[in-house]
Amino acid sequence: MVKYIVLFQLIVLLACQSYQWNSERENRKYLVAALAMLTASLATWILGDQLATPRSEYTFLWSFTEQIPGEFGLLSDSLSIVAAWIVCVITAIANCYSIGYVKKNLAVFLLAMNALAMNTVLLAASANLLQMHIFWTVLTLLSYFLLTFNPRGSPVKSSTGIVSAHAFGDLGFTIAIIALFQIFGNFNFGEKFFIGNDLQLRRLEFVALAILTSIFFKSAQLGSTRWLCQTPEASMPAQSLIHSATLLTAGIFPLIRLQNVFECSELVQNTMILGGLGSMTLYSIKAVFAEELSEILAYSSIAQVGALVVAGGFSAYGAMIIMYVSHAFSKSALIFSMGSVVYSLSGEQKLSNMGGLFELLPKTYISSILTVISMVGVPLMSFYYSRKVLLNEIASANRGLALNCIAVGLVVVAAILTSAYLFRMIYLIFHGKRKLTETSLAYLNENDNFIIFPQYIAVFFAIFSGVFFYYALYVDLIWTDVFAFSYGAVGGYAIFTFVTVNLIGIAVAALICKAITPRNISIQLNYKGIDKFKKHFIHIVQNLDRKYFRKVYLLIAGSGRSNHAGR
Amino acid sequence: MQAAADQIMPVDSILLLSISIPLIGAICISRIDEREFTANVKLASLWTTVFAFIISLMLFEASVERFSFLTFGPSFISVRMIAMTTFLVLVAVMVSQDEINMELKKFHILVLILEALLIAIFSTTDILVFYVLLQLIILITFILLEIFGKDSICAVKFFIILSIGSLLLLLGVIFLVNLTEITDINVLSRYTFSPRQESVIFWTFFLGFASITALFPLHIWLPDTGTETPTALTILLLGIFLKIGTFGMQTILLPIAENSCVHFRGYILELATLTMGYATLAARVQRDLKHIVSYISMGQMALITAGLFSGNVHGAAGASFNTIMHSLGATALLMVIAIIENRVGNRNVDAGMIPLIPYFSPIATVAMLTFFSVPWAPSFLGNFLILSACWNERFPIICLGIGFIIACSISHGFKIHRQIFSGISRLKKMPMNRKELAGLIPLIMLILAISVYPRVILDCRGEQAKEKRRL
Repeated sequence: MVKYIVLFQLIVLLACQSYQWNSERENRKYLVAALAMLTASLATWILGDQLATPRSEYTFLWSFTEQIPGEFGLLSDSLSIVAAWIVCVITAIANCYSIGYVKKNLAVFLLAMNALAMNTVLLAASANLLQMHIFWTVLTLLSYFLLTFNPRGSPVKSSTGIVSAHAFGDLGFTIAIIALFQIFGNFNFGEKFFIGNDLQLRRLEFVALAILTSIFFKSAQLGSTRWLCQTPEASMPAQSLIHSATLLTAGIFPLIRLQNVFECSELVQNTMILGGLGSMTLYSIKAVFAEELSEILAYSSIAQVGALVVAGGFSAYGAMIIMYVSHAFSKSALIFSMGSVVYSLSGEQKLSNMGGLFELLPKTYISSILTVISMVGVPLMSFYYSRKVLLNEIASANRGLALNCIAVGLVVVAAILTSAYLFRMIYLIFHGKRKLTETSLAYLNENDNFIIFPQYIAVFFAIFSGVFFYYALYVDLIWTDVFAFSYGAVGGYAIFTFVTVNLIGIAVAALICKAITPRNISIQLNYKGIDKFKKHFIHIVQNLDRKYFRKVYLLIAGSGRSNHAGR
Repeated sequence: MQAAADQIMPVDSILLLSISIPLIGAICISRIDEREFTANVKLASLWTTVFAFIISLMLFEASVERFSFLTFGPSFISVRMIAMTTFLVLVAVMVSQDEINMELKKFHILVLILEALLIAIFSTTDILVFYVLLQLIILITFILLEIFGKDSICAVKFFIILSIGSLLLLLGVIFLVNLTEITDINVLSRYTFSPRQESVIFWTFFLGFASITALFPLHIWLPDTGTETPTALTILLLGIFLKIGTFGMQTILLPIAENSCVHFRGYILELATLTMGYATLAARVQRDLKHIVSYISMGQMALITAGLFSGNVHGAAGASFNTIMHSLGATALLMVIAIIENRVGNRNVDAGMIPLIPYFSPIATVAMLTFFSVPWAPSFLGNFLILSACWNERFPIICLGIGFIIACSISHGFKIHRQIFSGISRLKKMPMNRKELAGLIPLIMLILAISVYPRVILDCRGEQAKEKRRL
């Protein structure tokens, strides 16, 4: 079934290409957006079909070489269809949004964005590791090109971080593929891996560690968070796709897809849990004290992906699906709303310069407050269910009491911090004193419908997608073919817990807003010694080859030749 | 099909033709008056290289039937190298049309003679002939560098290092011939030596070839020579000259000293990794784009060496794949750099002018991706095969090290890419002219075609098996 989505996306790409060739014909951008919406609705229909009758198909496309026994094909099962559906819907919304948002080189931008969407679908539908690796790396490249694109003129300068981080991630995956091929002799992950003896098990542990390293690089977990924090200048539709497609499909999707590999070793799963908990807690705290809007968006993404990694460590794949869906949609909804604010302030990102925009941007205010309410886990909305299921799974997991208690405690703390930073953000942007000058306020008004309308669609999905998947997975028990799970350790306490959590969070937010006002001064650390060393080192390496030869040569040839040589 | 090709033209005469066409062209050019008919010199050289390229393609059909003709007998590997040589010389001559206007006759004559010698060296089966041709090639390249290089110390450097290397090679050849009184490589490969004799042969030959391939201590001629010469010469140096070393390793060293290769391969792999690390580190701090290209090429050649000596079928296949892809990628990137230099006036990394040239950014991006061998760019398949060979032959640390270095160089490549694309430009819009497009577009098309259908280069196992059966 995924092949139909890919086919439709090809048509969208063709439309983009024709728009790029005739950029004067402005009407074609509406055609592109309409086709993207059509693709999204097709994907929704396919998802419904899959929910009704779960099945898995495989379509062979072409093989690579004889020396590498890999091939290209489309695997369409429940997981790949969910991932494809998320990407299609978000791309359709982002297409509409960028018609209002991007004013310069729209055709190129649409082309890059839809290419990224198609690549993500192909990644989700890959049936062997080789194909997965290929689309993984192409996804990095496309994200890089999308990030370099700045709707306001000169290209973004800080976009190479994504490529450098992902180059190391790809290295881990390459070695994992080679090792896995040596153990099993093929790249397919359709059937469960057969474990023969201890040696194979140890090798498989190495493979799992290598893949986990690359996943940490791709999903911006502890140690490689820099590339996600470096993207504030990029346009908002691009960021929404980076946060929901690149981060999730490249980083988290393999965790679910390659679950057989990870479940072979307890060491790897514990590493996952600890790493995820660490980045979740640290970056939630960092987000509370952030001074720029884009910092908050990046840090909250890192924290929530950390929670997803924790769920992966506890083998809570059903919880992962719900969190995956609700994170993707609510993050893109939040980014769209904040993009509307940034757009009307013409690129201003500092929280200290905002305030009191509630009357000037009422529609944006409503959409962002709805998103925030969904994200903090108000009962009967997406995040409420996702956290409830996560806590359920952690509490009922068989990993030792200490680890379970720490995990539950930190997840609750992260929930409190989430509501704290989100409410602080809302307060600093929309309430309080106005800090903008009169001249800039005179031009400030609500954006046009191409920016407002997509926000509300995204908000709708953000609120209800998690609920829908919760009922599909846990109540109706449709997908028992994919995940086996048990219901209920937390049960009725959940509502009480989350109401308390949110109240504490709002209180913390109010306290922080009173106590710590955002500053305009950024702290810069000076490492003079390191700089000096670096300078000397660069000088030495730059001239190494020239100098030592030239000295020997001058010794032999004498100084008469040196004038000639030095010209 | 084969029979038909043989009837039209016998195999040995095709080889003779492809060697003699450049020489005839050189003689013709030497009779033209340079001052009056400048355009004629360029045209004559261009057409000669075109003919040589077409003739060398015919060798592909013919090489299946093995033959020997005055100690020349091309195998599948060497036919591929010959086709690459003629193609790159054609590209180099095309690039030189605008670039070189002084001493025109000398340049074209020398390049055509060099082409003939290169074709000969890739098709020879005699070890003495190989040595003599190698000396001639080094001499002619030295003369070209002396005349057209901007810094004459580079030419001296080149000559000194390569002389040391070829002296070692000469020692090895003398030792071998004294021992066996045979000079044919195919016969020598079946000869059995004592371990001590074999190790002497191995190290002399290896160091000789290492100086050509620019492995670590013997690399100092490469970076400056690659930088201070015109683009056409840099293409010849990086694209073909460096490959003589790996070709020698593949066709002479590996068959003759097979046991020593297995015995010493750990050292060789470590040396290759060291070279790669050094090259990547040194490239990271350079500002001149040509310097960066030379250093990264050095690293790539070390990687190819590692693939050859890994002692694995996949490693050898990856090495020969990377040989071709590195030549194509380096040539494309050098042409891109030449275009930048034409417009801006320098080759610094922050020259920043790409938005000015329409349709340039996709071409430049493909060239860069290929050259830096970004994962699943056309040239990554070779890297993948070499890495898997190192892993399967139980060199996991070397595999990890090489992978780490490749990742470092990729991130460096993207830094350069971003710097070039996002610089602030002070110049007017300047589209690419017809000559630049004529050189670049076929190259890019070839790279993309190989990336979609790598079997053209990779599927040589069948051919090798056939050859072995015939021997």
